Amino acid sequence: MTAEDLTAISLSLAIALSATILVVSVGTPIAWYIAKKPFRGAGLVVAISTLPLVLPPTVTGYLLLEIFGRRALVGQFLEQQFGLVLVFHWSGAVLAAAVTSFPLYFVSARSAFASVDFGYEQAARLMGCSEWTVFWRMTLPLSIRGLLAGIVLGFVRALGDFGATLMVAGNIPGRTRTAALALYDATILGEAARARSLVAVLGAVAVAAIWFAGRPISKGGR
Amino acid sequence: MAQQVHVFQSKVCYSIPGRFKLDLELKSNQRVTALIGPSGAGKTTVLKLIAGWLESNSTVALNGSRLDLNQSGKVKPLRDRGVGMVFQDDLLFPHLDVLANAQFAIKYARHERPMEPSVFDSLCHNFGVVHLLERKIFNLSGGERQRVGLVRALAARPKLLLCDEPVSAVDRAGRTELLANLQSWTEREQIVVIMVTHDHDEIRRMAGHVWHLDAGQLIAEGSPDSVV
Repeated sequence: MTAEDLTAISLSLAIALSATILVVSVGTPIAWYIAKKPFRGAGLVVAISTLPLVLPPTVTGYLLLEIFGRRALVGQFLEQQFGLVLVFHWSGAVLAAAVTSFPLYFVSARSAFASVDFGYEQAARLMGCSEWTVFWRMTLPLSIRGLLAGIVLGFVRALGDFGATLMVAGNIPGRTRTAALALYDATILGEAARARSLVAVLGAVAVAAIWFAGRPISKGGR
Repeated sequence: MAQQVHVFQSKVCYSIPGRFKLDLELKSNQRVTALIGPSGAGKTTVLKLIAGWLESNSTVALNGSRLDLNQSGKVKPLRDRGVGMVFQDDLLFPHLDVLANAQFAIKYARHERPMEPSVFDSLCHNFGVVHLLERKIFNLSGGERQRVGLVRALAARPKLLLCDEPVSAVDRAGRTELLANLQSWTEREQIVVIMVTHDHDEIRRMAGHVWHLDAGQLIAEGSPDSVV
């Protein structure tokens, strides 16, 4: 494994972690709202949120370019207002990884929130809890297992994203070349030992993440 | 008796279009009212409507003041109603131990006079849960869960306590003792109680007034001897 591969691995971990934080920050309130306060049009929000799960990653990447590219409306706005250029930048890789991993977290979180017995939440309200306290003291702890599973699935998906990342951020060594892209390069160049090392690292991280999510939280955990 | 009328006068009106249209009045001198009726009569629904658990156009007043509306006429959130509830399926929080469950309401209840630690100790002692406090919820028997449920509800110092078959899982001997403790505790704390039960002995022992419900309608009310 070369120094460049180590950089790609650390870049992958940083991108996957950033994307997961972004996904959890955006996905948690949406999933909670749809699970707990059904509204007309919720189905459309669910459909849009889960679309990246069924679209080819390159299509997701292309759509992101259409929205966040330097000549696209949002892309121009971000560049003019904040000097932020996502294309061929690691932040673009974070965006691509976040969008492709979003459905996995969103579906798990929505299901976890929906599975929390409304009775516990109402009982807590009757005992003086505000909506905020009900969320932190009831809904969140009672759905934590499903949320953790969603976080891990999202993280692993973000770690392994290839197509959308390549479309939005490119494959620039040291800047946007993630471990998945480095593996592709190693395979194309016929460097089997390098490729196997990268496969081992990516596989080990994924297995460790799945093991972590499957651990019992406590005897009383759900 | 005028003073008693002021303390206990309570009124509960509610309707669910097509199902319920009831106007229940707690008799002024009765602190415990039993709610009876066959399965499916709507007893639990009535309790949930009174608590504000279910949305409706209910009117709930106690001690001459509305429990469901604040002074500006807006619907009060559940946490501000001063209503406690003991649930048929106990609804003890599974991720908290017994002590945390029992003290939950003390921590969060919006009460001008939260329960003092010594009173809480006495409450736990009276309801026989002292030896359970360190336990996890899933290690409790059905009867123990109901004892903890009662302590949790009473620790909030509600004005109105709604009990849905609160001792149905407790053995016969324990049930008598528990109901006696419930009666003396609610009397001491001036808590008005509405209790769903199927047990005629419990009704005669506890209640001063009985509402008999069937298919969502009040078909009889009066003293236990006249209704049961």
